[in-house]
Amino acid sequence: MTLTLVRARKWRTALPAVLTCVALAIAGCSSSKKPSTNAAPKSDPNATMTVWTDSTRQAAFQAYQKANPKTKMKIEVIDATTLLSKIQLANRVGSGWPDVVFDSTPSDIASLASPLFKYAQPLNKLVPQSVQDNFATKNAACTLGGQLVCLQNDLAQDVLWYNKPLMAQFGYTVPTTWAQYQALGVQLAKDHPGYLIGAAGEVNLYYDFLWESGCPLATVVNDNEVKINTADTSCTRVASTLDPLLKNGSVSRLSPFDPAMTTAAKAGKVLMMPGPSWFAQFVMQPTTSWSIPNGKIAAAPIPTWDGATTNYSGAWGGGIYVVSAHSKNEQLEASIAQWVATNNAYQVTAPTYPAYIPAAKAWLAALSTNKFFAEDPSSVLQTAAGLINPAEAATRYQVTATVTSTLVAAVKSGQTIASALPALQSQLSGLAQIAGYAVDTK
Amino acid sequence: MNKASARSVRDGLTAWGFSAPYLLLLTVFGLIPAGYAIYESLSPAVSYTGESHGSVGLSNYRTVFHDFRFWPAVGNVGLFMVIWVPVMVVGSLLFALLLHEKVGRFSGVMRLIYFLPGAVTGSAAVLLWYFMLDPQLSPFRSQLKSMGYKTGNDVFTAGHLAPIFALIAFTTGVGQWIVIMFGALQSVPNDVIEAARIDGAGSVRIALLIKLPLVSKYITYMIILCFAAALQIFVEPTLFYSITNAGSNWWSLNQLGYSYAFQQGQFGQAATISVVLLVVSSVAALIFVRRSSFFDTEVDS
Repeated sequence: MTLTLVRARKWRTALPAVLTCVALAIAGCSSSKKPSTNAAPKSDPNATMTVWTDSTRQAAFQAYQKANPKTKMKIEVIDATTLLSKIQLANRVGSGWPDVVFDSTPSDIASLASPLFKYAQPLNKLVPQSVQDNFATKNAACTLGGQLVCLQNDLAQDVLWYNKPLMAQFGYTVPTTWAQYQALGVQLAKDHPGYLIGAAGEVNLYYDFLWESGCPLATVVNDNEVKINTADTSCTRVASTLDPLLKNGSVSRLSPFDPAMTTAAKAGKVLMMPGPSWFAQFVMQPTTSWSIPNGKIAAAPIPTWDGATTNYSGAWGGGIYVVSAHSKNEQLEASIAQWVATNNAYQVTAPTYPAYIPAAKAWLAALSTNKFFAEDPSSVLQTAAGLINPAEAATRYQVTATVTSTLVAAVKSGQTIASALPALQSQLSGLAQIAGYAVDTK
Repeated sequence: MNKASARSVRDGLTAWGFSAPYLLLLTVFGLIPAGYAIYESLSPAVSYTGESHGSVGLSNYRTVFHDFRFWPAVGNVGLFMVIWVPVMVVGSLLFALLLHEKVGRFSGVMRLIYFLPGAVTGSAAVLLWYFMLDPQLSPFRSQLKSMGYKTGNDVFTAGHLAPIFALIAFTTGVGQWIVIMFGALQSVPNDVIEAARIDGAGSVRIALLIKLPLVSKYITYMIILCFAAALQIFVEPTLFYSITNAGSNWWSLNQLGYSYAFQQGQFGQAATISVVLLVVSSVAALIFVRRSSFFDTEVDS
C-alpha cells in the first residue's frame, strides 16, 4: 500500500477519535426556546405549593404547614448556589417552577425579576400595604423600579462589634468616626501589636466597608443603567482608612473565616470588628468558630465618615422570599411568603434579625437576655436596621465576585486596596455591560 | 452474487453490528448535543430586557471573545495544561515502568496503593488538599511554615493556583493511568525483552527503546484524553474559589461557560464556550493522531 493511501485511511479512521472528543467536550445543553406563558387560572385552591428553601428556613415553611394543614405543600431543600440555574432550567423546559423561594443571595432578585428570567411575581397588590409598611427598610432591597418583587426575611445590618472588657483594659474609647477608628488602629499597633480591629480578606470588605460608605459599585439608576465609579471619594476614603491599618497589622489581611483568624480570635486578639448583625452569634460565639467567652462582646454604631451626617450601614446577607409568576395560586403563594416573613411565632426562633419590625421587636426581646453579650445590643441593632445605605441595590451582575478577584486579592497578597480600585472599575464595568446595563462612571 | 462479495457483505454487516451501540451513544450524547451547541452559539442573544438582539451569526462569538474574562481564562487553563499534562504522562509512565520492572506481589500491592487516591472524588480531593496546604491545619504545617507560608493567604495566591490544581489532578488521576499503562506494558512480548537483555541492554535502555515504543499508541490515547480533561477543568477552581477566595468565578473556561448559562442566563454564549472547547480539543486530537501511528493496524503496514 502506498503512503498516500495509508495517510488517507489515517484521516478517515481518525474521525471516530475526533467524534469522541465531541462527546467529551460538550456539556449537555437542553432544548426549548421560551417558557410558555401560563394561561391557567391563578387561584386554584387545590394547587400544590412547591417551596424551595435552604435548610435553615425549612423550619419556617414547616411551621406554616402546621398552622395551615389544608394547604398542599411540597417543601424542598435546595443548594442556594444553584437557584438561578434551576430557575433557568425550568424556563428552558417551560415547567417545574417553585411557587415560593427562599433566596439567601438578595441581589439575585435583579435577575429573577428581569424579563430574561421572568420569574418574580410583583407583590404590591398581593401583600397588604399595612404589612409592607412594617418592614424596617420598607423592603428597599426588594423594590425594583417601584415594584415590590420580594419580601425581606432578615437583615444583615452592620454594627461595630467590640470586646468591652478589653477596650476598658487598654483604656480606649469606642470610635464614633472613621478617623477615630483609624487613629485607634495606629495606636493599637504601637501599644499592643497583634491585636485586631477588623479583617478585610473577604467579601466583607464590600459589605461592611464599601457599601456603608456608599461607594457606587451597584448604584442603580434605572433597569438599564448603573453608576460605577471606584474613583469616587466614598470609595477612596475606605482605601485610605484601611490601607495604613492593613500595613501596620491592626486590620487583618485574612478572611474572618480563615483558620489563622480563628486562632487569633480564640487567643483573644480581636478588639473590634465591624460586622453584620449575625456575626456575633454565628462567628464570634460558636465553640467551633471564634469561641469568644460570654460577657465580652458589645455592639456600637458604625462610625460616621468625616463630613457626613448619617452613619450608614452595609448589609452582608439578608435573605428574601420570592414568589413565582407562574403559580396556579398567586394569592396563596404570596400569603405563604408573607406568613414566613412576618409571623412572630416563627421569627422569634429565627437565627437572624427579622426584617419585619414587630417580629424584630420580639426577636430582640429574646436576644436581650442572651448571656453572650456584655451589654444588650438591641438598640444599636434596631437603629442600624433602618440605616442600610440605599446607594447599593440589587443588580444583575455580582459585585462580590469582582471585589474578590480585585480588592480582596490585593489585600490577601499584601498590596493596597487603592492599587486595585482601577481594576475593580474595569472588571465591574465589563460585567455590568455584559448584563445589559449602560455604565455611568461619574 | 459470487462467494467473495457475499463474504464481504457479511463482514460489513458484522462490522456495523459491532459499531452500532457505540454509534448510537455517540449520536445521542455526542453529535446531537454538539450540533445543538453549534446551533445555539449561532442564534441571537436574548437581552435582560427580553428582546433578542443581534442577528443569527457570530454575535455570541464576538461577545465571548471581547469579554474581559475570556482571555485570562484561556491563559489560566493553558498554564494548567502546560504543567499538568506532561507531569501526568511522564509520571504515570515512570511509575508503570517501575512496577513492570519486577512483576510480583510487591508490584501488585503498589499498583493498588497508587490506585487508591483515584477513589477520592474530585470535590473531596479538593477539600483534602485544602487541609494539606493550609498552614494552620496541615499535618505538614511546620514544613510549610519553614518555607515561609504562615497563613492561607501565603499559599493560596493567584500565581499558585495552576500548580495546585495540577497537583490535585495528578494525585487523583495518576493511579488509574498507572494501571492502564501497566496493562499496556504487559502486552509487550517477553521474548523481545529477553532478546534485548541478551544483546546487553540494561533496564533503562529496555524501557526507553523497547517498551515505550511498543506502548506508544496508549501514550497518544492518554495525551488526547488528558488534554480534553485539562481543557474542561471546573471542580478544582470552583471549590477553591468558594473556600479560599483565591482565583475567581471565571478562572477556567468551563467556569466562564457556567457563569454565562446559569448566572447571566445567556445559553448562547455558554454554548459558544463549549464550541470553542470542542474545536480546540478536536484539533489537538487530530494533530496527535496524525503525528502518531495511532490508527495504523497490521493490515495497513
